[in-house]
Amino acid sequence: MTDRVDKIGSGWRQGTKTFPWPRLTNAQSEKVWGFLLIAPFMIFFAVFFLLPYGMVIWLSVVDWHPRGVTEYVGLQNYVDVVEMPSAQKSMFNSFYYALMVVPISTALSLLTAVLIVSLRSSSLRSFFQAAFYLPGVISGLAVAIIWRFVFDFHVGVLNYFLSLVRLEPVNWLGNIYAALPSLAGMAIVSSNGVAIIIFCAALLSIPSSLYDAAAVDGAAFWRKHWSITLPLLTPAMLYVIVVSTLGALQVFVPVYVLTRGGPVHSTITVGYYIYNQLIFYANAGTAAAAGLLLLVATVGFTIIQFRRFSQVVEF
Amino acid sequence: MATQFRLNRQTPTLLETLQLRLLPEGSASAVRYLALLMILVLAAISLFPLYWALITSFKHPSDVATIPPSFVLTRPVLKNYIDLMTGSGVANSPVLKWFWNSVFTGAAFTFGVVLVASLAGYSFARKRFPGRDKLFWLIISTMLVPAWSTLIASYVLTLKLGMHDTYWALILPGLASPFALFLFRQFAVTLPDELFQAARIDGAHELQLWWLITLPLSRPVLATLAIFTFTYHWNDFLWPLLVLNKPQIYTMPVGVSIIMFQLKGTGPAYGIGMSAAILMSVLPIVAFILMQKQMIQGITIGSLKG
Repeated sequence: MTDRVDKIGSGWRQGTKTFPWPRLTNAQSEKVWGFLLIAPFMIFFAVFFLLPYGMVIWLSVVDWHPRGVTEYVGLQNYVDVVEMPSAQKSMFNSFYYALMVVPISTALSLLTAVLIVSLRSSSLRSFFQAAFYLPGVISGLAVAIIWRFVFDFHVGVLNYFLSLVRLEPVNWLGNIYAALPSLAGMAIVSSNGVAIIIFCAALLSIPSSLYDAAAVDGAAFWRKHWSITLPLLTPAMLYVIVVSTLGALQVFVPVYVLTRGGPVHSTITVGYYIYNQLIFYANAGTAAAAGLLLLVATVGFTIIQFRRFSQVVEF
Repeated sequence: MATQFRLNRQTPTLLETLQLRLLPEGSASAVRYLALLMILVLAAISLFPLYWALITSFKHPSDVATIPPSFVLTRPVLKNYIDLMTGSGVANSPVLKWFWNSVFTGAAFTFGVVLVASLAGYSFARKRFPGRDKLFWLIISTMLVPAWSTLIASYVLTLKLGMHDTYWALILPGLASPFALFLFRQFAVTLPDELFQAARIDGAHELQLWWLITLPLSRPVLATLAIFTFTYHWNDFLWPLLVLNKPQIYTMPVGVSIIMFQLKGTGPAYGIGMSAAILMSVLPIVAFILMQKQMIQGITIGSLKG
C-alpha cells in the first residue's frame, strides 16, 4: 500500500483515474476544497444577504414602483422620513419602548438567574430554567394573541385582577398613555428566557474558589458580589443588552396584532412604520431610508455599548 | 461566618436542598423561604399567559369570556379547535392547508440550512484558505444588523425574482443562516485533528471527511440546529406576511393573523384565538421538552464562547 502515501489529500482521484484531474499540492487542495465547501453557503449569502445591502442603498435614493418608472430622487426619501410626523413619532416610540423594556427586563432576568443559580439542587435549577424559557419558544404571534385576551377591557384577566383590589379598569391598549407601556410590559414578562439562561450559565461558570478566597480575605456579602460577580458577568450582560436592544428597536408583531400603531399613532414603531410605508403606501424608497436610519442608530448604539463595557471589563 | 464544611452533615432535608447559594452565609431561614417564594411567583407570572390560553382553548365558546373568569377547566370540549379547523366562519381560510404549508416549507428550509451550514461550517473550521477568518467574521457580523434595514430590499429582490406567493420565498432567502454557520463551526473546531489525518491516510476524500467523520460526530449539534431552525421558521410571521398574498399559500401564523383580524370583538373569537395560539405552540414546546439540554447549550454557545 505504498502508493497510498502520495494520495493524501487527493483521494478523490482514486475512483476516477480516467479523468485527468489536475495534480494539486496539499496546500492547493486545502484551498480549493475550502472554497468549494463554502460555495453553496456563500452563493445564497451573497444573493440574499449582501445584495440587499447594496439594493437598500439604491432603493433609498429612488422613487420605486413595482410596475412603472423608477426615478432617482436624491435624498428626498431621507427628507421625507425626517419630516414626516408619523416617522418622527415612530422613532421616538421605538426608543421609548426600548428604554422601558431593556433595563427592566435585564434587571429582572438577572434577579431571576441569581435566584435560580442559588438553588442547591441541580434538577430544580434546570426545572426553573425550563419554566422561564418555555414562553420564549412559542411564536411572537401566539404570545400577542394570548395577551390581546389578557389586556381586553371588558373580559381580560388584568382588569379582573384590578377589580379584585377595587381599582378602576384600565383601557390597556386603547388609552394613548397606556398602550405603549402595556406592550412593553408584555415584552418584559414574556421574553426573558434567553437572558435568564445566559445569566445562569455565566453565574455558574464563576469558579467558587474566588468566593472562598474573598471569604478568607474577610469580604462581606455585598463586597463579594460587587467585586467578583458583577465584573465576571460583564460579557454576558453586554450580550444580553445588545441583543435585547436590537430586538426592542425592531418590535413589530405585538404592534401589528394588538394595536396596529394606534390609538392615534401612540404605538407606531419604526418596524410598523416601515411595514406601513412598504405595504400600504407601496413606498419602498421611504421604507428603505427609514431602515437605513434604524441601521445607523442601532450600530451606533452597539458600538457605544461595546466601548463603555470594554472600559469596565479591564479591572 | 467563614467557609463552613458540610461534609459530615447527615442527608440534607428538603429545605437544605433548596438552600440558596448566593445569599449571605447563615441568613435566617425566613430569607431563604422568601427567595424561594419570589422565584415561584416569577415563574407563575411567566407561565400564566400560556396556562390561561391552554385552559381557555378547551372551554366551550360560551364560557370563554365570563366575568368573573374561571381559572380551572371544568368540562373540556374541543369546540374551539373544531371551529378553527373548519375556518371559523371566515371565508377562504383552509387551515389544514396552512398547517401543511408551514410543515412542508419548514422541513425543506431546515434541511437546506443544515446541509449548507454544515458544509461551510466544516470548511471554516478545518480548511486553511486565504481570507477565511475575515470572511467568517463578516458573515457573523451581519447577525448584529437589524433585519428591518435590509428587509425592504429582500422584499423587492424576491418580487423581481418572481418568488412572491411561492414556496421558494419561504425557503431560499434565509437559507444561508449566519447563526447556523456559527453554531456548527464552533462545534467542528473542537473535533480532534487526528481523526481527519487518519481518515486521509486511509484514502478518504474531502466529501467523505465531511459525511463520514464530521456529520456523525456532530449529531447532537445537528439536532439542536435542526430544532432551532425549524422553530424559527415555524414561528416566523413578518417575512411570510410580506411575501404571501394568496390564502392558498399562507403559512399557519399568517393565516391565523388574518382570521384574528376578521373576527374582531370578544367572546367566541378569543376561544378560537387561544386554540390557534396553542396549536402553533405545541410543536416548539414538544421540541423544547425533548431537546431541552442541547437547546440551552446552543443558546449559551452564542453568547459566552464566541
